[in-house]
Amino acid sequence: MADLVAILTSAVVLGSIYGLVAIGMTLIYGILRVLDMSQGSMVMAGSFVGWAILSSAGWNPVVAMVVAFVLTFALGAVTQLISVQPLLGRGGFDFEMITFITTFAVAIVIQNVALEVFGPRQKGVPPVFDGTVEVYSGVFLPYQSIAMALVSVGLMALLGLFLARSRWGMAIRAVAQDLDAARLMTVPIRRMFPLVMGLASALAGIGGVFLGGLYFASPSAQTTCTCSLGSSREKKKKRYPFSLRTVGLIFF
Amino acid sequence: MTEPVLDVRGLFAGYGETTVIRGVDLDVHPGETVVLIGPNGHGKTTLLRTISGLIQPSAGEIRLDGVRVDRRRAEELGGLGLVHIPQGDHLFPELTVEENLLMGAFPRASWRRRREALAQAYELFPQLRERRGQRARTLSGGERRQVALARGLMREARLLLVDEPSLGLAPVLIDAVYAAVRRVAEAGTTILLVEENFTYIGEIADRVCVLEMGRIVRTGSLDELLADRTVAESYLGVL
Repeated sequence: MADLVAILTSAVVLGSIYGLVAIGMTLIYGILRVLDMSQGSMVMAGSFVGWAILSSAGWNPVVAMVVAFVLTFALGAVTQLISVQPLLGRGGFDFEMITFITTFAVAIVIQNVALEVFGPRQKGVPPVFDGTVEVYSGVFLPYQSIAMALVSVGLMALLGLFLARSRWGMAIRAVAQDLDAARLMTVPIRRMFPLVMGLASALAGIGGVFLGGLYFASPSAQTTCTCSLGSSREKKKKRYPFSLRTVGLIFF
Repeated sequence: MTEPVLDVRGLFAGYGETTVIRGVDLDVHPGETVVLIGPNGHGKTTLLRTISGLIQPSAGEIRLDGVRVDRRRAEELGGLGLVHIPQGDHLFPELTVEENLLMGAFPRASWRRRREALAQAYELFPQLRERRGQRARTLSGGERRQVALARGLMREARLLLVDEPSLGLAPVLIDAVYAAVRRVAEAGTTILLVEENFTYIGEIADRVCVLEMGRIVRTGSLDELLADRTVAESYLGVL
């Protein structure tokens, strides 16, 4: 019984954080039709922000999350501007395949910058919150994990609320459903795309702060993360074109 | 004469290597309803899509109230008072009827008056009030067309482009759709409407242009065109 509780709690905690990262990817795919391979490197970047801020004494976990959010938001928006935006509206090639490659290229660049700056060794990120609580006889749940689940569920709820209720949230859903019609409704898609990719990346960045605490911060974290995300999306929905499915096979 | 709301000069446009619009000249004056008529595949829809900025023209000029707009994108042109009700409705299938309508009021200025605009839309199409919470994809063809029209009327239009509002509807529904268009026209809105034939436009057309092979080949009042042998021969079959 204790084992079951332990497995269940850690599954819920991990699932919530993966969900946070994956939801960003879904958002980007839904709106831009881009399978964003840079999403994993945002997790990695977030974990390094966590390491840099949390390992220097006196830094507040909220500061770590805010900095990770801002930094990965900017990184995501820039990624969109250099790897996707220039390809918009140009015919004559497979948009999904090409942007898969260009975002992957950005991911490689980010990974190697991290490698150059922080070195190849894994960094232990101190937990955002210290201490544990006994949830069942012999099963201890770190405060870190509870915070992780709460923050990611909270962020998902906020995102859901934003998409469901706000003017811009509605516009984002509209763009995903009919791009031309959304343009006729004067939705400024060229400004919206980088912001959406920034937002999705920022969610991944916050996920990274926590995941870094759970595992390590390491430049190669990006590859593992993107690959598992890519293939899980692949299984969930069957309506992707052949090119994406092939890519899923190559990577896994 | 007053300055035209829409002034198109020597317009060429198409898709990739294919040129569809081959030198169109067209003007629409304030308060006027101009109907663009022509056979399938001769460029009516392409012309509207070019005017509203969904397609970039390869040559020629488009002016909206005297301002060159042929290099502007659709999302900017909407802000200048151009409203385009596209062919085939282009509703947002997973949004509710009300959300679809609200998207019509997306520009900030219209958004502030969205409640009044919604009330007006429901007054014009009472059926939509009952369906307000329903997703657009669950509607019937007639209801969809109503949503498309109502969505186009959610913000103030300097120029309203309507693409084949009768397409795929039963005659009784077409009458209702045209009654709505006529009310909008009578309220003083400038309209450029596309239709395949003369059947339904009798009561609304101030002027009719015939578009064939990407060119405007005839312009005149409905009566003038119907008196013209060549035009009558091509289009009388449907009268």
